[in-house]
Amino acid sequence: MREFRRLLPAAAALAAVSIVATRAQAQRRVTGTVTGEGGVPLSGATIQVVGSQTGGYTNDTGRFTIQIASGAQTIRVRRIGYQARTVTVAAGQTDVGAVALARDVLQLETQVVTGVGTTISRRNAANDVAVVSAAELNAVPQPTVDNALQGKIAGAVVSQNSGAPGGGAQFRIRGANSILGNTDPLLIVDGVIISNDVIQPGTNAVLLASTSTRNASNQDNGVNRIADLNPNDIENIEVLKGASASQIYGSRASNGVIIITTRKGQAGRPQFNLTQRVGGANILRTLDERHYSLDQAFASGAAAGLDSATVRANYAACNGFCDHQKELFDNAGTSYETDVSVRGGGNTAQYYVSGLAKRDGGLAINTGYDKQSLRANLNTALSSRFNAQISANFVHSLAERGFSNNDNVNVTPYFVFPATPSWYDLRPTNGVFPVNPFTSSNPLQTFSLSRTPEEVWREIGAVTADYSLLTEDRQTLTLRFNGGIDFFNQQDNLSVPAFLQFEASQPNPGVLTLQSGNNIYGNSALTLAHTYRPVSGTSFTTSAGTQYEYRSQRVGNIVGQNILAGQQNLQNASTINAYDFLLRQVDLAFFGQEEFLTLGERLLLTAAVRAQRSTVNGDQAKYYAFPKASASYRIPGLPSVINEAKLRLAYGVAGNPPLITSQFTPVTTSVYGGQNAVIPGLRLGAANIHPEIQREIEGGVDLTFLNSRASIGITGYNRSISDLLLEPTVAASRGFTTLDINGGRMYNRGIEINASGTVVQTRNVTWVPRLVFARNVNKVTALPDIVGHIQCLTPAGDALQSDPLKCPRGFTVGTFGFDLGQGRVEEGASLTQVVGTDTVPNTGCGAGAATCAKYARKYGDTEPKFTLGFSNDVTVHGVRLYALLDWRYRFAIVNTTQNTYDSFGALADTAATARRLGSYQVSAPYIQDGTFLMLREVTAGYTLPAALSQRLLRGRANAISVELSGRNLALNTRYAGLTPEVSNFGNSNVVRNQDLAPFPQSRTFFVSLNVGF
Amino acid sequence: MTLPPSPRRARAAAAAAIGAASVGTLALAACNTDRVSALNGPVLSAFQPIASRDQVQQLASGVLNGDRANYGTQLVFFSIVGRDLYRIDASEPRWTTVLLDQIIPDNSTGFGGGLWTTPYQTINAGNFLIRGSATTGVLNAQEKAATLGFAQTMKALEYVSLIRSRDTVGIAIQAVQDSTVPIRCKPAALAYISALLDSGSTALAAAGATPFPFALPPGFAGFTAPNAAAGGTSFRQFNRALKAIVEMYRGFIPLESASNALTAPDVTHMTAALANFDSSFYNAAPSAASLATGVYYAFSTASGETTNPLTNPSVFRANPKIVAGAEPGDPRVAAKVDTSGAAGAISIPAQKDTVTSRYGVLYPRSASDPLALLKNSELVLSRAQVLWTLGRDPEALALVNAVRQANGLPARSMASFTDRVDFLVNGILHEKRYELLFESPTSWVDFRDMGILARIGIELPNSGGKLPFPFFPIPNAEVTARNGNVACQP
Repeated sequence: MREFRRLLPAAAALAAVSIVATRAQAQRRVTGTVTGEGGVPLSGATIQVVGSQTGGYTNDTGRFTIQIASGAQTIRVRRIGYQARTVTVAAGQTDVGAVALARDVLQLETQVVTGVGTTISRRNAANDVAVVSAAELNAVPQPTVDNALQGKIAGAVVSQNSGAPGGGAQFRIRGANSILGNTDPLLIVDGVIISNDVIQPGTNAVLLASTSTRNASNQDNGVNRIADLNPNDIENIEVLKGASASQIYGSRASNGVIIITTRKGQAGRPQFNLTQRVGGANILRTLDERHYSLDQAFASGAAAGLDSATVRANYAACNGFCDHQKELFDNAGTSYETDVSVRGGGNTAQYYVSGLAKRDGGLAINTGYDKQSLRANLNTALSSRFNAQISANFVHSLAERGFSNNDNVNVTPYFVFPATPSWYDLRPTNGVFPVNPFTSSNPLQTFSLSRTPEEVWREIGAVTADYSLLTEDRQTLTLRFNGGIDFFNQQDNLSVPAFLQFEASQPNPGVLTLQSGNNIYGNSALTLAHTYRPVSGTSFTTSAGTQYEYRSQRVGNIVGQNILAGQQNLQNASTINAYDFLLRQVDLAFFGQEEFLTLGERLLLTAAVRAQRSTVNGDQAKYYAFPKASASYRIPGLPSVINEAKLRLAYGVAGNPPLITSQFTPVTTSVYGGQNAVIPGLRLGAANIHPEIQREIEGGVDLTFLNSRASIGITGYNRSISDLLLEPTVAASRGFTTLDINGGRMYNRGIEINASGTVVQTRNVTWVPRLVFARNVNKVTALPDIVGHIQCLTPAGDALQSDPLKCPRGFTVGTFGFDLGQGRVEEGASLTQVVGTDTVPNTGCGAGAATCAKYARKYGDTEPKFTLGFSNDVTVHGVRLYALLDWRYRFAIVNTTQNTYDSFGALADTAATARRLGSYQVSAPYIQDGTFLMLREVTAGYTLPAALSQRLLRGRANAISVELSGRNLALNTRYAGLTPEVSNFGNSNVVRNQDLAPFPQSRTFFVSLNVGF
Repeated sequence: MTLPPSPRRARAAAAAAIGAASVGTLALAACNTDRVSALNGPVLSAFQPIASRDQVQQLASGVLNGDRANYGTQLVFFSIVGRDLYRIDASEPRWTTVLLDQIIPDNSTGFGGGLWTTPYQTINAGNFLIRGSATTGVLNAQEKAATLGFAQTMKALEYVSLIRSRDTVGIAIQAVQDSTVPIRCKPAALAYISALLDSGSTALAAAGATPFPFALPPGFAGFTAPNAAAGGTSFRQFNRALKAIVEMYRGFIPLESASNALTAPDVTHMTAALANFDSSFYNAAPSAASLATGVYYAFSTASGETTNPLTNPSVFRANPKIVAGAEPGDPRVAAKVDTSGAAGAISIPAQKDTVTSRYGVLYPRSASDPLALLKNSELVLSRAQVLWTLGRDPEALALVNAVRQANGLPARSMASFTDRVDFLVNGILHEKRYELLFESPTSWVDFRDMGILARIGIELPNSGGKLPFPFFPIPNAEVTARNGNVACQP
């Protein structure tokens, strides 16, 4: 403590960005070599003289040469993926020999982001910042980045919305954090905020899931555009889970921040890497459909007006049972992926260039996902003071996702299959598809003859430039500019020919759409960072700056109907509807941060504040402040078994911006007697709407033991979210039905555990298990007075409460009614609850009861009770075995697909169908547990011995490996649907996990060959 | 800590200054960012304050259009409940199952909720126009008065619509957007509406000879001036006619259920009603032309316009009671109901019955045909109701006969009715029903308010025979927002 007190004046002096000069000293040249496991030389390692900015890098052969001051000095040797080491250089010593680094399996050395322009070693971090390395990310071939994070981050539940090719997943980090506001984390690539928006593909033009319009709807199974990134380009992903860490990103950070760092060049000769993969996919699960006897087939056929000869012919063609699901969804074809990259460079410029071409076969006919990506990253030292990182990424993707989810014209396959008995043959004869007499479409015809291409062109460019204003032994002052642009265009061109069975019966048969969305993100930040090291082991890092963010989007959608089959030009449609959507948002922020690292780099204290304004706030000019404070302390004097023990505590505030419409009251326009008529709309906007405020306190302990071979981190947090963005229903007698307000409060509390270790590490065998565990509990603690009270039971639980004031405030969210299960925001309950019908006790409920009283109660939560990811990575000689298990325990899914099957009696287990239908509308039998254990990733690989690799390719290759890998190979669940990862309404906090005729999930497998040379 | 002087220090300070300056420059540039306005549609803030006469026109038209939208809903609902009309619609069976039943509709389904929401939306629009026109610089004092009188009259019209559908349940009066005001019982509500109309009338009179600062739609032809001398037609005469109807509602006392006798008529309100008829456009010497004088809703098929709400021959049919109860040779039935069967019968099951009708609706003949909001024949026959209530039956009969003769029907004598109640039901209300058929559905309200709903006739005979339910409930969302506290206050 004494040392600490002595430093206080220094801290005070620093607040004014004191700039201290020290004497120049005599220099000498020191050389050495850095090696990894087995004495392999490591290129690109950083050498830094402790207490100064002096240093250098190792070359191809692992050698380094640096200038250091005379006298005894300490140098620190770092390299990504290895544990750092400090080496003492005695006075007069000029060769330090070989410095061997051990692999940093536990990622203690990784630098984690603490500010817009600052980082700190994970060893000192005051937050549990999840870091996923490239190796973990790409342990198996990943369809999209979202998939690659499943089961790897404690506290982040990544759920696919369906199995359709091309991505689409919701990240829920430390629970559901907003009711009405944005649900997705902020996405940052190389310092630039990029778009993770969803532009819905517009299948509603065909499916009419939302009957009031032909424009796109939130039931279209859209993709959030994180999917565009190439997982192979990623060096690592950091996840700032909540306000205590993400405060640095202000009012858009309350859902967490995903920070992606792409691969950088390294000095040395060009290193090429080529990976070629070939694989396939099949349907993970099908529903067990009923088999009919011929007599049953006659009965069901007669009901649809089929004569017995037709029934007999179909029954014979199907041999009693046609597996419609596999006929449509067992057509993935071949998947492939070619990934090439090269990195290298000299002392002043290093590059990383990569290319990707891939195709993921889609399960259904005419579905699939093609992507090509190019990336160039360049790091240059333009002068001794000035260096810049420039990156450019170009992506093209083409996804065809077919038709899935809710629809009102009976086109989605899982609405058609239950209506169509399994003895009926839907397959084409001589290219002619039979008419489905049981409902309005034949999915084989629909998928074979209509197309759903979604084409994305995307360009992301980023520049980070650091200008060193001052470099001295004890202090540095750096000006950093960071900026970039993310542009993408997404085009969806649906074409559904008029002669399809279901279209022919439409008023204007045939659909052709042109939906084009342009999305632009631009942002720039200027940061001034000052580091001052008055004595060894102590440093002050002061940073301040400003950040500007611009965001715009425009989506136009032209829906043409009544068009001849085969026409491409919308002008040929006789009925045309046009839709348009515009968005523009400008944010400006100022921030300042002070980090104080002392007591031999054992104590880290941080304080920061960010003030941000945004055009989506009611007061567009007002700045909202988001403060942060944190502390971490590495305990000294530990028993020898424990290498490190760190206590940490962090507090921060972040926001979630209002909807772009919230500040405005719309007016409805019409024409009366030739005059334009304007009337205030039914929603009252709020001139004072402001961001939701998340206050998070996080504390934890990190332990490293067994010679730094094992670590465990335990984190607890409590986040309180207030000023919730709400649109409650109000008394219509006020002249409108809903209004925008900030109000109410909820919390997310939870615990997270990360454990990993190198359990076995010998010359030829390593075994690294990793475990992530998280549990989160959410509760809405208060809703504002304007929200009315909902119906509830008396305290005794035997009758409906007659005094509504004794019931909690709340409102329902969702459209399919309590009988099936829907969301309800309610004081004292979790935000993610699924509420269904039940009977009031003692009100004479029972079979056939006419006057049975019903009410709605909670049946479950869409959020799991806990999640656990467990992986094992075993290498024996060159053979690697890796597997990741993803376990989600106790969460609710609304199985409307099964309800549809039951209503047609189309499932094999007719007794279970009868049981469910018997209790339906009296209880809610379709709210079901989704607990699952998924074998997410499996890889078996073999790396040829270096000597063999060299010999095989005549010395040109230095690494060859082959790999057999798969994703989603096995699913263990009692959930009776196609997949427990479903969301008819896409990314949503309250109405999630609605299973409504989804696209089934794939099991994928690949053979890969990797050559490095 | 001492800081030794050093050239480097000066350089560093300079560099820091440059950095700070750059940050400042960027910040300044960013500070110039314009506000982002609403990009996807017009918003209310563009009308705060009202910046042009165009905006006055748009807001006034908005109020009128809101009223017309509610009228379309009310026409269909009231005509069905009042046994004039069927809407036989397989995709929405509640038009028959709910509206022909005796049970008050379940308020949780939202069916009929528009009868509550839309008038209040229009009242809110009226309040917005009143606030905005009072402070705007684009109107002079007379124009402001005219606009106030117009808006108050239109608001009163919405309140009348609300009390018609909610009756004894009560409605929220003095509705404002900033808070939820209590539900008041019918007498208090009617008293408020009456006073609101008086206030509107005063404002209209204050406009003097100045015209409205906006154009009224075609259906208001003849009533487009705020103010006119007694005996003329103007918006104020329309206001007075509404006032007369409201006073009549205030004077209704349900008849004794056993004897159908009227114990003690409310002379005060009925007398006030008579006085207001006299200051309205009521014309005591009716001819076919003068009966039709009044205010109408205009419809059009032009882009953005609203079409006549009854233009859907595939679902609308006349209730067979209209044909069965018609007087032979009544030209109004021939004009509005197709008894030939050419429309084709449509039917739908409802409980143990099948609701069916083959009588097509002949009026509107086109989607742009107008419908009467309030016309002289309604005033004449309402006045007959008032006179009947006051026991002045011969004067009432004279008015009934005047309407009959104007339609080419023979005059009736008092002796042709079995008693006073028969005269009321088969004389006055029968005449009113056929005179206003498919235009201003008053039967359900009149029968209910006079306590003789049992005489309107049953539906669904095989399901127990259903009389109309007496009122629409307050929508569930409103009940929830009021925490269930919807009992009306006197």
